[in-house]
Amino acid sequence: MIQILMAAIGTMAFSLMFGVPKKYYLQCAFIGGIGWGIYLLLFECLNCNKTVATFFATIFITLLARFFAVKRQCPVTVFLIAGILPLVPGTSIYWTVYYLVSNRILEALKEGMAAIKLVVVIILAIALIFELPNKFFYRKKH
Amino acid sequence: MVDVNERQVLELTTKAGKILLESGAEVFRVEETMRRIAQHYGVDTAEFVVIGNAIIATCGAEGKEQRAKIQHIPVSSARLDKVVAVNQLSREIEQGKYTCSQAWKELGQIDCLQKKSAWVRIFFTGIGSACFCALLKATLLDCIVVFFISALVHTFMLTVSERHMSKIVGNLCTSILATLTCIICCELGIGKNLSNMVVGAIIQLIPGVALTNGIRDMTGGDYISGSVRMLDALFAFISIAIGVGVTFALCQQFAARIFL
Repeated sequence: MIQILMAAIGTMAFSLMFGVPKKYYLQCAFIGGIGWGIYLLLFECLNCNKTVATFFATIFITLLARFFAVKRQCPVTVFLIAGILPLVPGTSIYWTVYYLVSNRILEALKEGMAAIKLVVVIILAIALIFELPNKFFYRKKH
Repeated sequence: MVDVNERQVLELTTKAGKILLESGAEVFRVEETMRRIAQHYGVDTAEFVVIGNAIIATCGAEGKEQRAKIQHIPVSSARLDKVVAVNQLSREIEQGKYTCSQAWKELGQIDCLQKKSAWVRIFFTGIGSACFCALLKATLLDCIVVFFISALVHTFMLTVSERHMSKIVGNLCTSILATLTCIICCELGIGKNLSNMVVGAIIQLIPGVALTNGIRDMTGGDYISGSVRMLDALFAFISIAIGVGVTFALCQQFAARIFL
């Protein structure tokens, strides 16, 4: 629970850095929190591996971002960018470099591949959701 | 339909496009917004080509006088408030709320939208980094230390690297500074888990906007802009990684010497 709260606050703080207007802060925080919540749920409770968890979390974040974008009539980027941030594999990249420098090439390779996998999966999920036609989101409104 | 001359419309659309593109909007959004504005003002012959850092706009029917405008767009930081504002404006233009010159003025105002003041940005970077540090299950103390470190790092970013350095070197120096301060803090005993702290401190450098927009451009079929942005993100990742790596390597060397 604290984790989700922290993700929400963190997302909000960074959305402020990207210059998101004030009225969208709450939604940004919401998306960040929920996205991380789903990731945690999949990763820790359902024992999925990191890649799968990230994939589904990204799918959900993108869906949510599109819903909010239609509802609030504003570019989807506003919600998406901040929402994705907690999932970007900063940790994997860090460990890759760390192992590289300390001459543990095998481990570095492993972490590096993990990082690449995560980024690819994020890209895939975003691309997938954006293939859904716009109508799908507009129908709810009318 | 309002009757205005093509030149004005061309300039209006290019300016709208410029603001959108430099504030971090996707290519297809830029193109669509420009086309909508042009059509509303009755310029149906307008053609727009938007790539990573330039907009090319032409208008004029075949056989008549033709106009063209090229706008170079430097890469700058994300300003989603501007994207939202221009988006809103284009919607209102379509509803017929603005004449061409009014819209021009409005755009000028949007372009001048102020950034949040430096202190606020520094403070919230600290908060954000500390929160992301907490996501890695760091201890409370670590998070607090990270708060101060990233505030410091962001101050450095605002005062030195953004003004005097290229993007790559800037990222490199900033990540070196972040890693170095983290290591020092750990050595001094005010921080337990070095890795969590470093990740927290460098997360503000991670090019989220470039990555997301790159993906969206790619999926929209704008491969050139998409690859430019992805490359931007990739270079940022690499220079951050090199910064961290170099610092670790140097510290290990020095530490070894001191203890020998």
